[in-house]
Amino acid sequence: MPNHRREFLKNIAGTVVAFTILPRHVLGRGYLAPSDQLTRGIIGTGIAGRQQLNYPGTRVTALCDVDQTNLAQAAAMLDKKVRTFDDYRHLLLQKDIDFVHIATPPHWHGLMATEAAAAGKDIWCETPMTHSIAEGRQLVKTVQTYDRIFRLNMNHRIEGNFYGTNVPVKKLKKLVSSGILGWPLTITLGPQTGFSWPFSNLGLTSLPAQPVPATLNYNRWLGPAPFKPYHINRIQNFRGYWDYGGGVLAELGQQYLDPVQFILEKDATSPVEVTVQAPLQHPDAVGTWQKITFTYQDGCKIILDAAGMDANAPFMSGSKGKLYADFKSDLPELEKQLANYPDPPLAVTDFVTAVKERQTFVTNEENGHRSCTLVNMGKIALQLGRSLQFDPEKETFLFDEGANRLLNKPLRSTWK
Amino acid sequence: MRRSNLIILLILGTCLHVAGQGQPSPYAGRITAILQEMPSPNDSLKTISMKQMEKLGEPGLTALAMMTQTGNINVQYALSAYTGYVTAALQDSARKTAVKAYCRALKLVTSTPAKIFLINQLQLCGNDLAAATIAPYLVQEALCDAAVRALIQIGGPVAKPTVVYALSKAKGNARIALINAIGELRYLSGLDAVTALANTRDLRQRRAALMAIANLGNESSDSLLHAAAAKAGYVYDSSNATAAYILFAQRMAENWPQEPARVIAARMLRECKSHAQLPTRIAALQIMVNVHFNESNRILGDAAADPDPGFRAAALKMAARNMNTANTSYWIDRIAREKGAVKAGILLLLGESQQRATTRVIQAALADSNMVVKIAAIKAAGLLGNTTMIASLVFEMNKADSSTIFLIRDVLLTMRSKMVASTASISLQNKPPLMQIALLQILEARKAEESKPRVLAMLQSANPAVKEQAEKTLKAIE
Repeated sequence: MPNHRREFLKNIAGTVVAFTILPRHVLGRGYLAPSDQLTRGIIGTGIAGRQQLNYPGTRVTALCDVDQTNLAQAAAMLDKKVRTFDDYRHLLLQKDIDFVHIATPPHWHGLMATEAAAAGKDIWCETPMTHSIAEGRQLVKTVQTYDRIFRLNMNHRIEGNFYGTNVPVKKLKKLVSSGILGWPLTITLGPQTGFSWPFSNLGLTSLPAQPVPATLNYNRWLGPAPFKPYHINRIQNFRGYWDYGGGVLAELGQQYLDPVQFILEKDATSPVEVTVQAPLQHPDAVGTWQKITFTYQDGCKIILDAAGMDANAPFMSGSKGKLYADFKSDLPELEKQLANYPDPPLAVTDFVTAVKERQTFVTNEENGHRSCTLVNMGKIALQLGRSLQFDPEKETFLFDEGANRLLNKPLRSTWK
Repeated sequence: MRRSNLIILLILGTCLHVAGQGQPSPYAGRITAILQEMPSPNDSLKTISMKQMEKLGEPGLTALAMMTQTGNINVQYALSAYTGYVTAALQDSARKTAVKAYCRALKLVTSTPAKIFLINQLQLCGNDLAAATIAPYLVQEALCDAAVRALIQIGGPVAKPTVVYALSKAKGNARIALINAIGELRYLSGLDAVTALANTRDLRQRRAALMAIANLGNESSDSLLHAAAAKAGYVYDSSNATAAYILFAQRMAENWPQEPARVIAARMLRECKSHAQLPTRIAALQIMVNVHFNESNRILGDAAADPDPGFRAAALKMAARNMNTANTSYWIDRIAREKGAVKAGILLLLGESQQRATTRVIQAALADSNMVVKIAAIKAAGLLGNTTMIASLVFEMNKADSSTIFLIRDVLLTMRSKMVASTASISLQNKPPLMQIALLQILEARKAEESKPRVLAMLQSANPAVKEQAEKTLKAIE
């Protein structure tokens, strides 16, 4: 009898399964079957890696971290079992992953994204995009060689107001394109225009070696960065060290600068000059700075006024008018004048759509590289403590071998 | 005297005593004064300090560089600032002196962190003398990485052969760094040395060797790299052989003649047919287009009709990078032969080209019965921005579903013409409610004052949503 019962159950199993496959509408509006979702591997499961675990239209199938504690915590936040790795190259070998989310410290971004592109993965990368200008150009080339979809994780082109201005980027872009304020334009990002540059990411200049925690693979955490003895501050405050970050400039810089480059229609170029006002920088630990100014070929300027040196600076200033926060201006009826002008061109702002339809995402490898170039130019000028001239076509500095030697940071390769 | 200054003086005295073999140093006071000013709070004070350091000359700078052994933070500030200072334009003489001093100190200091610090300075300012001084450290496990990075940056006739020589002596991790360096330095004389490691059992070394060989880009490596990529199935694997072969083909395409690159790309396209090999197919297509530029329209036109949508999309993106008047006519001819998704892709390409000649084709496609084509045509019309399409776009709203209506609204708002508002205004009457709402939103965004009478008429609409939107529009335009 037991045998018969088993056979009976076996025979009806197919029928039961057939009845339990529910039509999609029964599962609710907007429900996306797992087979229709993009599969995702997250590399770096710290704060940034955990922020978008439930991004609509995607599901996490693999996690990677060199810190076992982080890895276990992130895995515990997911409903299902996910594969976990401590080496991103093993994650990239998984054939069923559509895209990777790179949420590591910045010194890894370029290397991992380049290899992910070669592995046929689409890429979602945190800012800053790369650690050096040459690495950025190399990444652009690789992403385009393999035609991967690349998203740099910045939202201001997509939604919300642009930081302290209380105005959406789209409207600011429209204003600049209209020419109402004249040309060239100067944009100032400082406390007086609603931008704070919190210098909380400063490095320590003296770090006595400490024992490496058992849960951390420190050699792999350092990866392409030069070897330095372990100290907890390097891990917890990685932004404070030139080897892994670049302080507040690298932490917030690209988030602030990318929309500004877009507003000024500089997505395909770079400044010709960068000047800095800052105390001498330590070779390892990132320090503070007062002011960084980027100047473009046509005279447009972006001023990062961390110290609030110009208390009366407008957010945007041109030959015909000025714009302050809340869209206040010295020009009469600005809103009305602006209404006659066209909106900026439509762009793909949904990553899932971009991947499925193979369309270029709004914050992509090319404009991401250009806005990250500002960050990296600023870092080099701070490290050398002088003004630099830049050729936006060749992407090299003019008459400055020291600066050119910082264009490309040779990577430590023994970690491999 | 402040306690910190006293400590600096004591350390300095000890160092200079050691460096000067018991002789009192003539630099102690000057170095102390310089270090007391570190870190300089601004440019003018920094410049003064740098001038003072320049005046120390080679022996004084050597004494200061020796102080890196103490781990003194102000020494680190001073030396790294000075390294940056001497790399600026017109500082050749100061730079040579600094390099000599750093090299001399590098030989004298004994602690590993001090040696690494000085090698790092030479990475930024070093020359052939520095390369020769750094060379012995290439085979030392603790210093190899720093030394390799410095030599990659220094380059030149001393650094390159030094790296190859060191590879024959190095072991373990140092070998990986040296293999990489030969590739980075593009030093062809190192090809035999890295080729010998291409079939090693050590996966890490093999991976590094394949990439270095690819970087060197010598035609003779074709069969080796081809075999490795074919063995990997032309997909990503732990040896990274496929990426190496693609890099090799790119390097070959940088040289003249480009025929070998064309042969490699054609072979990859022939041998790769599966979806799993899509990234390789795309990379090969890119190389083929680059080396066969005169034939690029035909190559990309055929690729744009490929069954794999990913391959099609890649081909159209490549075409978009080189669109001009001549190319446009090819794609206008091509679209007549296509339908469905392929036609939609080409429409977007034509719109993006912003060539006026494409207007007729895009306009005709607005009435296409295939929704994919129609949507592409709407977006292409917006990209093209030709105002002659405004009326056609508004007309298409009549029969469209809700998402298409609002897509057309968004496209119209990107067009630069007063005709957008005037056409929206005169099209308001007797239209489907959703279309009326979209048109009213256009008038609201454009603050179209002249449309006020027609908006007022909409306040009488029986549809509450239309009425509500009319009120909002009226408020905006008044």
